[in-house]
Amino acid sequence: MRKSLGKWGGAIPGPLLHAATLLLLISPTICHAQGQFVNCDSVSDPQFYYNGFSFTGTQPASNTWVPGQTYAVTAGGWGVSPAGCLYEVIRVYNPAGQIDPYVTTSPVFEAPGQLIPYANYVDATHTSFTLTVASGAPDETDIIQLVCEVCFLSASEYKVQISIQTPLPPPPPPPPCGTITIDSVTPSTWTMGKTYQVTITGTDFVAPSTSDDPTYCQQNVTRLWVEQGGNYYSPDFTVVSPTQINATIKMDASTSLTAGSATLWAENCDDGCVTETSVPVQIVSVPTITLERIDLMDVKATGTPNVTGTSDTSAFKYLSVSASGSTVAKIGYASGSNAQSNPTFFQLTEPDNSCKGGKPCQGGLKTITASYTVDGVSSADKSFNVPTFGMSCYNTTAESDWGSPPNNCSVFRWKGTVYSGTVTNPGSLTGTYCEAFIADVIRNAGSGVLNNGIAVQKVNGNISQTPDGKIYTADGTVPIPFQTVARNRSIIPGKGVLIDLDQVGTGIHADDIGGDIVGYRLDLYKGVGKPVCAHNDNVMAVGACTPATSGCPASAIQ
Amino acid sequence: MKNQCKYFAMLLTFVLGIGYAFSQSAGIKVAYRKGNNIFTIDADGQPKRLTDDSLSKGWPVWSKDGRKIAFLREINETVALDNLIIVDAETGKTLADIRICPVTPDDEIYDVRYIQGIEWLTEDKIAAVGNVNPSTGQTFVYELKTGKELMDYPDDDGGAVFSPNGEHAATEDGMQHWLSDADREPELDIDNQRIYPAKSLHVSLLSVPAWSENSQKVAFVAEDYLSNQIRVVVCKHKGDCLSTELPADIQTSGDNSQDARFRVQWKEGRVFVTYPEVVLPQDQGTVQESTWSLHPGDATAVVSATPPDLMPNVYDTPLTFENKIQKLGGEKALKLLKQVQKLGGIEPDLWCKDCALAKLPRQAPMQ
Repeated sequence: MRKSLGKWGGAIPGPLLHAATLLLLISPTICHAQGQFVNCDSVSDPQFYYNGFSFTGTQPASNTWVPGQTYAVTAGGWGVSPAGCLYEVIRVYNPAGQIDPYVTTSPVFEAPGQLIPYANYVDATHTSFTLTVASGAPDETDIIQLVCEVCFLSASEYKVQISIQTPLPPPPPPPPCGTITIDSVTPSTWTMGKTYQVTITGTDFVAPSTSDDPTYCQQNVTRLWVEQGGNYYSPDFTVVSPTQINATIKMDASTSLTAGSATLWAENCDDGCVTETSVPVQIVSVPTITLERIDLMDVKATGTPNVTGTSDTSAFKYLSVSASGSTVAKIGYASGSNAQSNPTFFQLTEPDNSCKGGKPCQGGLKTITASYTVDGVSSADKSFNVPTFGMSCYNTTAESDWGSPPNNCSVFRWKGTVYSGTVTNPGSLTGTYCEAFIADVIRNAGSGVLNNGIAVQKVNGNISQTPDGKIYTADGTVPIPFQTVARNRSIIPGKGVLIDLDQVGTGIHADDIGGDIVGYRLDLYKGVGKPVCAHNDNVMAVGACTPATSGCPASAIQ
Repeated sequence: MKNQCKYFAMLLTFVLGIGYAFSQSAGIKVAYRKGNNIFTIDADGQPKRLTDDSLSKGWPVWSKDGRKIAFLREINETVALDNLIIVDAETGKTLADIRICPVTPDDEIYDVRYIQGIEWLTEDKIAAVGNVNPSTGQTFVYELKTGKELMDYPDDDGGAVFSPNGEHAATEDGMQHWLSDADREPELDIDNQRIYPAKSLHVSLLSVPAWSENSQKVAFVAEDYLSNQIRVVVCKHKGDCLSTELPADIQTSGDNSQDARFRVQWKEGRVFVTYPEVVLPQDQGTVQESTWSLHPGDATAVVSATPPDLMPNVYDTPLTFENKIQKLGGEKALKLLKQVQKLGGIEPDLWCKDCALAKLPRQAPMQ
């Protein structure tokens, strides 16, 4: 079946075909195909077919042609059956259907009045030519037409669309790497357990920021991390400006960092251009407080870490409340110490004796709790108890307290009965005594001391010398003046407890008791006879027991 | 006409009397010490100074009817050991000026070292508690009208305990301080008469005696010296004691090194016995209290809940003291207490007619 030339075939002017025939006669080499002359007589009703049309070679695969470029083109995928084309004419039309004046192809042969572009035979399915797009060619979509001419009898045309497009200008080269620096980190000491809003100043910080894995360097970002001995922590942060970063440093359990020195790194990454800088930072542990009772009245408090002299803030705090009773020791900073000094010293002071005329007064137990805070993070509370005892004085009754027989005996009244005058050979004693003394020993005191120093006591309802010449405390010890106290067993139970008392003495034996000694009261034994207790100063005394009891703790703070 | 005047006068007296009594009893009021002087705050909330001199004073305490205030005032030791003053709470007028343990021409010597408390017994009698040595006290009872010492009550366990009606005193004797264990003969006395134990028995007394609400009986805890059996003993004024055994497995210290003592309370005719006597505030939660109760004469006591003990004591912190006052006297009492504290007052004694505070012994200090 003969294929019609159609529109394109009709476009080939008749003189051109004649000129081509003439050229064929004079230049057999031009004739197609396979270097053979075509016997046109034998070519009748030639069949053309098209198996696709594609370009190969140096032209762009996308069929996009750049102005100012020349392309060596091989076109393939077409053929002529049975004898092939006599030659192939190549034309490039612009979108207006006109020959694109900006595109030329070669080779050409000169026909009368015109130059006819044609393609070189390669093989039965390929032909080649060169195509030049002039500089300045407008961006447009053209059509390349190949027309197969066969013995002037008929032609077949094939066309393919190409784009002429001026390429975009190349991107500008990347900016040069900045020199990232860190000038300051505030604060630069971070306490475990606390979250900090840290301000970092420096140069060449780049937004947008990222807190990605520090082992991976993204492009055009500033990265920030803390490094300590192979452990890394990447905080959240915001690049506020090229000179400031605001970071949130969370020193919680999720970080692998520990107390000690660390390094804060900042890095700019830019497609292989990496600059980084670092500054040292300090990580400190949760504060701790140690309390040491230097003596009865002075307590030394040491806080760790000690940040004295740094920009970080630290302070001691204390709180004291009554744990028992209401008249308890007071506490304050010792002279020269304050909340910010480390170590600091607390000083205990006794309360005033508020009882009328300085009469023996109840004391109490005070609980003192102290803590140490660094930069807003506080240590665990440390507490200790301090007892304060209201002191009084007692003695052993003496014969001389009651006057002297026979004429200067005092009067003693007990349960309404008056005892006066003298008594001779009372009990197992011999001699004359004031009855008031004997009655006091038997009724009130239980024991007494004669003028000759012999101890006497109530035995079977009467008076007698003590078997060994001694009297004893409730715990079975011999009372020692200024070294024995009577206590309440609710406060100081057990036997053999020694007590240190401010203003009174140390190592005092808490061996005696008495139903009138209740709560935080101590009665200090001062010896024989009423005068030893005359004008006794009933001080309020801070104390400490060995061994400790819950009511009377030891001096050492556990 | 004469009779009409008489009736009118009687009516006026009655109305004024009722009005006066009401004004005296209504509301709650407080007496306290600030510096050397005694003040009160009544229903009007305004502090009123009752004394105005430089003599040291202490322990103001309202009388039972809330009309009088007693307190101690310092006195020259060549005159007396201490000075008990009673004033009219409205006018401040001195109603009684009692010299405690006075220095007398007959050279009477009191064994008392100092006065450690005062207590109203009735409207006409007041007691001053003296301290002889760590064990022994001597309580003196005075008549207000005459200032005369009516009786002294020696006691070897913290002072005499008076019945709610103020007519009777329970004391412990036979435990003089310097007495050897073998020679101790503890006994419970009522009105200075031995009522327990019988002469042949030797016991240890393990509690302060406690009076029944009707002042007819006194209860205490005693331990048999030989068998160590612990009993709750309830006695009438003249004796007639009934005892109830406590469980034999109560652990008290056999070597006498601990304070093996009980707390005894009455509640609606029942006796409640709690061991130990005191749990220090710092030991609460670690030391367990046990309580038993009984009717006098029961064979054995039964385990019971511990009744609340709102009586202020020496172990009270300021906070626990406030809590007790609030429970005893309500919000108004607490408000008064805080007002006193704010004014710098100490030794507050609150009084009301009908609140629970009125049931406490009228004593100072409140312990």
